[in-house]
Amino acid sequence: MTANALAARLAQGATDALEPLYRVLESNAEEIRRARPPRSGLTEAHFSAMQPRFVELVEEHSALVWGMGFLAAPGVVEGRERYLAWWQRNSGGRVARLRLNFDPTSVDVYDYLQMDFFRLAAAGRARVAFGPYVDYSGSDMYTITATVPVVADGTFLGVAGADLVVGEVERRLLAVLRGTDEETLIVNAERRVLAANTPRWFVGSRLPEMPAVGDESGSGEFREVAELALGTGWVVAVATPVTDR
Amino acid sequence: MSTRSSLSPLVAPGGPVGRADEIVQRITEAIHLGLLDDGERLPTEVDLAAQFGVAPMTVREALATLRDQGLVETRRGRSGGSFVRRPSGPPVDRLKARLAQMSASDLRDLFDEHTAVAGQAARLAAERAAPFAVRRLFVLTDQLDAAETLGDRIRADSRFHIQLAIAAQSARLARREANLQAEVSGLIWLPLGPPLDLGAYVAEKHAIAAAVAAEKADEARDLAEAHVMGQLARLTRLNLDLATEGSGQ
Repeated sequence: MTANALAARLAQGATDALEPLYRVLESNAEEIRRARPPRSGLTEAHFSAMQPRFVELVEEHSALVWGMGFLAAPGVVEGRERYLAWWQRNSGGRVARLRLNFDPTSVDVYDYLQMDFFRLAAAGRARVAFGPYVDYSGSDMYTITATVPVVADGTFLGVAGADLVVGEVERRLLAVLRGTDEETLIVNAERRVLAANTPRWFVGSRLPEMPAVGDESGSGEFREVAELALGTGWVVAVATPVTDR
Repeated sequence: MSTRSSLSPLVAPGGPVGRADEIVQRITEAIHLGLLDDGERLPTEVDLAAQFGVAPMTVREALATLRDQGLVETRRGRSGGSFVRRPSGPPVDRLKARLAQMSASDLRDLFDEHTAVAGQAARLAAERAAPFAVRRLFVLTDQLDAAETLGDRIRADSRFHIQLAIAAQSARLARREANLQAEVSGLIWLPLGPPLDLGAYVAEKHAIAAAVAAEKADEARDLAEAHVMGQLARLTRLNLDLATEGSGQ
C-alpha cells in the first residue's frame, strides 16, 4: 500500500459524491452562455424562459438542493448593478422564483457581490463551495452555496449556483468515510469540519490548522492527507491512531 | 445565498402559536426588526397558516389586525397579496406599556437569558467565525454608530447580535437570538428615562467584534456578557419609574 492510499481513495469517493452536482451547475452555465445574443446583452426574458428548466432541476435534486439559479455581475443584465434569477423550494415544497431587495443602503441588505461564492468565481476559481454557513433568513438555516463562473468570450457574466442542504452533503460524505475504521474527517479550505466518522471532531467547528502529515516519526495528528479532485479545496485527512502517538 | 424573505427565524423555535394576536405580535416584531422588508410580499394565507401551524381563518384574522395597524397593506389582482409597510420608528407607546407591565424580576430574567445566549454566541464565534462573518460584525457596528433614525439603530443593534450567533455556526442560537431581540431591543432603545451612552455602547460592540476577529474566545464571551448586562440597571430604573407613575404615586 502506498503512503497516501487510504486518503486518496476516500478523496475520490467524496469527489464522486458531489461531482454530479457541479456538472449540473456547469450545464446551467453553458445554457446561460448559449442564451446570450452575440450582439446584445442578456435580459429578464432570457431568464424567465429558463424557468421550466430550473424548476425541474430543483425538484429533481430536492434532497440535496434548496435552490438554484444565476447571479449576475454588475451591468450584465439590462445594465443593472445586481440581478438574480433564482428558484427555490418554499415551505410548502413548491419551487418558486425568488425576489430580493437590493437597496445597498439598507441595514438588512446582504450583498451577493461581496460574498466569496461570487468573488472567488469572479476571480477565476472554476468551482467554489462556500460554507457551511448560517443563512439565517434562508429556507434552511445551514447552507453551503456552490458556484461556477459563467464566462462568455472572456467576459465574466456571473455565477451559476445552488444552495445545498448541509445535512445531505454531510450524509453523502459520511457514507464515504464509513468505508474505513480509521478516524477520518473532511475539512473545507477554511479548516472547518464538513464530516467526520468519529466524535473526535465536531462538524462546523474549526481545526487549529489545516491538516498536514507529520514528520517521519509519525508523531503528528494526521498520517494521511489528500485534497478532493472536486476543485473546492476540500481535504480528507486520516488521523494517526491515538495509541501510536 | 440569502433570501431574506422568510419568517423562519421568528416562526421556527417557539413552536405553533395558537391565537391570532400571537401571530400579530410575531409579525409586528419581524417588521420592526427588519426581518421583513418594507414593501416585501408576505407568504399567502395558506402558506402562513402552514408556517404558524394554525387554521387559515386565524391568519386572516391576524392580517386584518395588521392592516388596521397600518403594518400590512393588501392589494388585489394578479400581482396582489399582503405587503409589509414598515413604520419609520418603533412603537414607543406600546413598548413603554410593555416595560411598565413587567416586574423587575421579569426584566432581570430576560437579561439573564440574553446574557447566556449572547455570551455563548460570542465565545463560539471567536472559535469558529468565517472571515466574512467577522467583517459583517464590524459593518453592523459602523451602521449602529452612523444610524440616523431610531428604527435603523434598533435594526443594526439586533442584527449585530444575530450575526454573532450566525458567526458561531449555530442556527439554533441565531433563532434564539432573533426571538430575544424581538423582546429586548425595543426596550433598550426606548427614548425614555436615563439616556443610553451611544459612544460607549458602540465601543463595547466594537470590542466584541475585535475579540471575535482575534479568536479570543474567553474575552469575547466576557465582553458580550458585560455588554448585555450593562443595560439592565438603566432599564430597571425606567421600569421602577414607570411602575411608580402607573400606580399614581
